[in-house]
Amino acid sequence: MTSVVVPVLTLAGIGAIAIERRLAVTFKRPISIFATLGLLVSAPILAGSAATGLMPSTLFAAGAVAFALLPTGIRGRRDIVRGLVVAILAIGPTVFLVARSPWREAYPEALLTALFGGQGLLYGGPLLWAGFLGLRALPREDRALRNLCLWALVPGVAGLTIGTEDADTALRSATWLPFLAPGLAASLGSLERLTTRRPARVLVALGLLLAGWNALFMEQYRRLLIPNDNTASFAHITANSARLLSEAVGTPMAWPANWIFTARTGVASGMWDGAAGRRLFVDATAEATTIEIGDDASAFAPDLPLLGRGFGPRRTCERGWCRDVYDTGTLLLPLQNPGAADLIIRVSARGEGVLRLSLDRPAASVVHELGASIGTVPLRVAARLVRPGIHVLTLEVPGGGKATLDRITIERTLDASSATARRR
Amino acid sequence: MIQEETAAERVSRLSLLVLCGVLALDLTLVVVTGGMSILTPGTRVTPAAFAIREVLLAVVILTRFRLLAPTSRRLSAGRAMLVLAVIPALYHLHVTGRRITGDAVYYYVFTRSMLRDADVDFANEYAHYDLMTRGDHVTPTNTGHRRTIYAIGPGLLWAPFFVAADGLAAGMEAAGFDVDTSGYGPLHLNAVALGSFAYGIAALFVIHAFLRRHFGDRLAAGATLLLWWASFLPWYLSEQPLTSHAVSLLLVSAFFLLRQRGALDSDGGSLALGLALGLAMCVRWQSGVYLLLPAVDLLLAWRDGTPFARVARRGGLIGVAVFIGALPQMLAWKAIYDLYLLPYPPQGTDFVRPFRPYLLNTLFSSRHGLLSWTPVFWPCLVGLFMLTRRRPRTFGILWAPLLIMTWVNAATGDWWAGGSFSNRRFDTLLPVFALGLAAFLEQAISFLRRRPSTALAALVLGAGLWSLTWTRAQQRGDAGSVMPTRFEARALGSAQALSNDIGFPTTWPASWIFAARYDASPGAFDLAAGKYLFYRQNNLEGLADIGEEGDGALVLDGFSAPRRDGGTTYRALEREGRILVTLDLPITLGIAVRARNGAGGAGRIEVQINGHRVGEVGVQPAWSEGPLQAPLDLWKRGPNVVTLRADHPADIDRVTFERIER
Repeated sequence: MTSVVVPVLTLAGIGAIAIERRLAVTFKRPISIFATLGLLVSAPILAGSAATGLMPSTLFAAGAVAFALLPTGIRGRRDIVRGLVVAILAIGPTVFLVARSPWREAYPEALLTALFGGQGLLYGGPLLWAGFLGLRALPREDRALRNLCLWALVPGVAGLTIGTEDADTALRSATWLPFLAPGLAASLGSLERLTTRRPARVLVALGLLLAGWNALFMEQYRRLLIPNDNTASFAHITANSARLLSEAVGTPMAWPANWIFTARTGVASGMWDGAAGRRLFVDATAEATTIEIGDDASAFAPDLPLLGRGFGPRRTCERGWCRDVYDTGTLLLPLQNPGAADLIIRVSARGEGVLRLSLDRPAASVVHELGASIGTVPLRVAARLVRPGIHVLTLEVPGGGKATLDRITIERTLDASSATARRR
Repeated sequence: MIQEETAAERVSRLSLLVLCGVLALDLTLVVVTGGMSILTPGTRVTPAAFAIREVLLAVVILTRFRLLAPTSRRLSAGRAMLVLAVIPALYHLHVTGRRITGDAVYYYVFTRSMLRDADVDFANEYAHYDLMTRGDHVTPTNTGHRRTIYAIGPGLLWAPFFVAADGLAAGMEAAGFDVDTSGYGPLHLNAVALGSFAYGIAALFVIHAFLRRHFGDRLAAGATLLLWWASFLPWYLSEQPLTSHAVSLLLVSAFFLLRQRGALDSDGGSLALGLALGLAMCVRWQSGVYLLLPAVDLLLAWRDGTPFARVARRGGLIGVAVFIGALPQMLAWKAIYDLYLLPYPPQGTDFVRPFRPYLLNTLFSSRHGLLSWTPVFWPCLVGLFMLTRRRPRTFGILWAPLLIMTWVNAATGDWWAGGSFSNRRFDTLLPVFALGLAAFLEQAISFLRRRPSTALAALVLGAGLWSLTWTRAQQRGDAGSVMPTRFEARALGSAQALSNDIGFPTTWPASWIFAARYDASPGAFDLAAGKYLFYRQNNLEGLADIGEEGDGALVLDGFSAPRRDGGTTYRALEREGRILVTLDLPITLGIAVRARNGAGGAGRIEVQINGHRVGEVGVQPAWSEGPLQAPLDLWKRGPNVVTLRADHPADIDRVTFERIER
């Protein structure tokens, strides 16, 4: 990652200078400077570059330069060509990536994931909200500039509804993110005016943050999530507070997608962050993947974000580590490309009584007798029942039984284009 | 017509007043009985129904005392805000607040013993709470009583609520209910908890009145609310109401209000001031520091021309009233210890060590540091500084109690205040902090108006912090390998990256000083500062268990991540690693290092204490333990760096320290 920092920062700097110079035409300094900085720290340039090299920052710089070179904006039909150029620039990376992808499908959850998932644009850069909301304030400043931004943002955002098997939001948004700068500047301008007129409101907001931090701190102290009388790591205290907040009202950066997710699936909204956008299959050509349950003890364990209610703590079992399920447990399975034929889910478990497995209850289910040693419980789900998105696997052990889960394997059958990609 | 309107208004006001009384009475009954209501006698009040009752009462209060009240007697906006803020606090007290927990039992036994047995012999109360087997309770004192280190004040001031509970219990018994009248039951505990809560709420209104004169109604209310909701106060008002803090705050706040309203200008006022202070000392003896303020006030009045006789009389009256206020404590000590005044704190001679304060830990450590847990006290201090610069003669004197109490708290044996949310022992300073906070807010409003772009900078900084710390966590490898992750894990990764790089912000500057002193990451401060090898409760009992969960409090650098081999958890040492162990006082210690040679064959590990060589221990391919002895002069008070230097890669399971008596 370190090797890309300098070129990435150089490209981002070029983009920033271009954006700031353009903003300074419409907005006074330091609003233009803060808007540029805000955009820069909120755009997934550095993180995106860690995954995909210099491309996101290069595209960002290109978008920024284009934004700066169109100073007059779009006033009417006579500027339609300019609008089309901007739209093509915005949608270009998406078109390119979608065309290259062996699998693609348009579905609403793809948009929610791209914006509000754990790696989503607004999740990673919540200040970008101000870029969208500020567009409403723009006409007063410069209607043509707003039109220019809309020509970029509408196709750019719409393009995110097309899901591919790769996590490529940083790349797909890079060219149109600079067009959020005017909205962001307008929002910051409104905040500045509000601060001048009613500075107490800003302090009230800060006071609420402080009181909120205190309330979460108290709650974790009450629940003994930190020692009653000993030292504790403030990083863990922060994490505990984040957990409590997420459990209570969902992660604020993921609003409202996490609420929609809860309404759709009945799963706690705090689960959205770790599941939305998660790639279970190692790449587009993989036909099987395994989720090891309980193997990793860290807070970043791969299975943790997928485990819903009903799972016990990690425990040793005959093949390593497992988790117990009493009564009912839920597990999230985010699937971008479920494959062309039936999906097969195999649960390795042992226990007492029977285990009923259902995907998106009651869509598909199977009942299987558990044994004393770990065996496999297969669930075959018809292809027509598996849409792209997050699915809920429910594990029920009725009658006071217990299932000890070791791993879950998912098998899909790829279609011809994916198979071709695999052969390549 | 006008007269008719006035009559109609009067009727509506009276009706609302009656409604207000009924609703307040009902809420009181619900809290005290744990769910019985006069409005819905047949059913138990659920938390949701309780919240609805609270909101209804607040609406009636605001309608009666703000909307319909004559302008001259209208409830101010600030007070209205405080009234509204009581709703969630009372809900917390009723629904999740605890009763007998922590110190509560020791304060409550005073109330019960005084009112049930008319004494301060706690043998029966300790027996009830299964505390008679505790070492300090087993042996009676010279007077045949059982020891207590707690003050009589809270128990004494809770007495009216205990008596009220008795009255209610009698009424309920007469009505045929099965009631616990022993004084240990929920009825009495709830009544006393509600009383303590009421004292705390009253204290907040007093603080508001105190601030109002300097800063106006709304700003005063803002400062009071912020101090309330962002400090340890909600914990001790609602979660643990049966502690001394609410009563203590009320008495100290009353003292400040009386002083501000010129109590020293009259004999009656001087008596009231002294009585408030005497009672405050009866609740928490530290409050005696505030005697400084009237003393200085009287001296200044004398210097400014007030006749000496008058100054002396007022001083004498204060002295008498302080004595009367503090008398219950003296009588209690006499009964328990056969002494009116104890020569040292009841906790023991070593409880306060005036020349060994742990200032940085008391303020910034993760073990209940005042500023690290509740950063709202930062603006309080900054504001007090601003206020002092503006009006040094009026406010400069407030630094004296602040510094003295901070010093005393830092010099107390358990500077972390035992089980405590933030550092609760600063409760008596809350009126001073409130003053500072209001001054800070006033200045902040003016500053923001002049420099509104500061708000923009703060927003961009916050956004940058959120995204860049995560990028940094990924760069450091702290973010795990699977993306995306849960909010909790992301917050952990970001906060760890921030802590390791520049320290957690609320621990500044102590974590920087720590990092500079021990050449370590400022993030290590969190777990290390306040974790003792032997001292007081929850210490390490001499065991530095490397590789176990929580060894982050010990390991500074040079070790691998924790590993496991069968039942043994350990960390690997490539060449040199450092651990940090904290002592209250230097002592001679035996050291045993349990290790094995990671590469096989034999090897040696050199042990250094604070850079001084102690000796070497041999290391074998199998786990073995080599002993050494580190003399007293190698150790120092506070954190000590133990360096392990291996000639070959080694695995370290634990380092055991043993006190060697000299």
